[in-house]
Amino acid sequence: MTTLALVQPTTIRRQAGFSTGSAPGSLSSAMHNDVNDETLMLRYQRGDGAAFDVLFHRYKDAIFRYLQRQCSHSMAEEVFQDVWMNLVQARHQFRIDGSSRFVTYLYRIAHNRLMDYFRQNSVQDRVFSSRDDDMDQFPSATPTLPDRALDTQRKVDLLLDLIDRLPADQRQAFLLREEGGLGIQEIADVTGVSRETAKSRLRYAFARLRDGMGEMT
Amino acid sequence: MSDNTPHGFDDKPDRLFDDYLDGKSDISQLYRQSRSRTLPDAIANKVLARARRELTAQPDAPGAAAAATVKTFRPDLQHRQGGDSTSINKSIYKSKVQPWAWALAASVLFAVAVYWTLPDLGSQISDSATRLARNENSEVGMTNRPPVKIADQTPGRANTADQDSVADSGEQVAQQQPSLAYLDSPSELTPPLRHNEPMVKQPSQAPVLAAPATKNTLPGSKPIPNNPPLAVAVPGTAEHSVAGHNPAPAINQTPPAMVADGDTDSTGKTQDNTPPSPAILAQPAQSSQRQPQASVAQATVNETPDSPNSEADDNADYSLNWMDQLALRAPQSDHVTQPTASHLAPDKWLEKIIQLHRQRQFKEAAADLAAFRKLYPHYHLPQWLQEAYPAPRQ
Repeated sequence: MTTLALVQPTTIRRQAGFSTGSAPGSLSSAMHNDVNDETLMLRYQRGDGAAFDVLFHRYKDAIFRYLQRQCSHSMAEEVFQDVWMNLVQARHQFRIDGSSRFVTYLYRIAHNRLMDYFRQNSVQDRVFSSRDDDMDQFPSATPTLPDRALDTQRKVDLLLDLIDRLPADQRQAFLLREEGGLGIQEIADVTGVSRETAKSRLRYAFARLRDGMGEMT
Repeated sequence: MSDNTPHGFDDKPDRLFDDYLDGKSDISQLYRQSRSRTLPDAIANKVLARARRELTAQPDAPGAAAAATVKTFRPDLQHRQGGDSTSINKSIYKSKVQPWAWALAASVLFAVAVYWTLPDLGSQISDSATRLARNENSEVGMTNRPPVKIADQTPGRANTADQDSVADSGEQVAQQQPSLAYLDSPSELTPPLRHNEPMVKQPSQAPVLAAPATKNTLPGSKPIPNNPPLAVAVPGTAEHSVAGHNPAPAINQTPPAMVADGDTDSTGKTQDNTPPSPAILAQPAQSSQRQPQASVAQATVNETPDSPNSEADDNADYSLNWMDQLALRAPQSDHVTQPTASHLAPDKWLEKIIQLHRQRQFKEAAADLAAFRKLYPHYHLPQWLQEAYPAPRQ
């Protein structure tokens, strides 16, 4: 049985932001590394380009994976550029009010742009078929695996395959949780649903993945 | 796993889900290990380049402002700076004037224009009103005998009476406008006042009496039905026309009886020997039914030799010029296009001739002017009218 380390949510968020590298080694970028996202965005609103570089390097990979898990690679690249261009052009609309965070703002843009692409192209990507209730079609991990002593890579591949087979809403909720480190309320805000709906989606997604992965705990 | 719920959830999965929300799930840890896919550097560089270009193009950026300054004052460095110069220059040359400033400037200009235009408009309106009143009263005067204005003309005071009537007319406009308006002589009317010109009556001038209608005729003379006001010769003084505007009449020694009787003959012949005097212009008002010869005869006065002809000429010229101006300003109406207006007073007739000319009715104007010249051969015509319609040589 694989033992996985337990991490804190703050660690998850930091890993979601910084795990894929930081800004290039310029002095201004290094000065921005310890600044939170909201401050960097406000600096970018005032014309500080280095702040945008830091923000971009914090979230570029997470956003790209969030998109790539829901559509094809080429489409993810195109949507990814649109997301950041939207952020650049609408940077003056960003306001810090209450508990809103920059990451929520960024993922809302990504979600909206992705929905727009689906709507414009009338394409449901490879995993965007409506298979909400076909849990029986999920591959059974247990019979195909020789034993529980699988290596991590195989488990990861299995997990990714299970994620691809998740219903779209549940996959979105799960990816927002894992890639963006968003809470249930933030997921609800990004996807435009109620908190209970978001929680239900996330709960179903987790259940299906857990069932697909088997008893790992 | 117990399946107490349709989805197979029981207390254990719920606890696992709570652990997942707390970041204690194995799935989350396993998913983090799957983050091997990263964004291609080409796409990252492309996005960064576009973001910087977008940021530089905005005028609020510090870098953009600096570049704009350089491009404003150092055009030789424009090629070194690069970037989108069009958007930067638009931000530079954007007008800083607020819209309310434009509105304020327009209001001030309008007020100044109104201030400089209103006096002229006021004078024009007063002229038009006076002239309209004259026209109305001239028509009324055909049946109703208006009061006669008797000027106590003494030798050497012709102009003073004239000036007095001019000065007095301003007061009579408000009080006795009909009687004033009846006086057809243009010199009796107040010339168009200049802006801010005071209307002051000179005390040294002879008074002008507005006699009632019952005293219109000469003592002992027969009242003439529908007779216009006559020139009254005050015994012992120089006889003068109605308002004393004829300081140099052309006709001498005309019997008063002829005037009273309205005799119409011999006026043209007697005038042949007299030099053409513009003072005839200030003849008394005529009834529309009265012949022009009679009006000329009525204007006959005994003139003293020392009459200030030169000043009278000046006044006549001034009156004529003013009349010309009035004729030019007069509104064009239909009733003035009648081919013959010989029943009118000479000045009114001349006005109508001028109006015909202004209306480009040259044939009618020429015909009327020829008739006018026959009746009033010595009437002083405007120079331009004489040139436009030269008199036929006899």
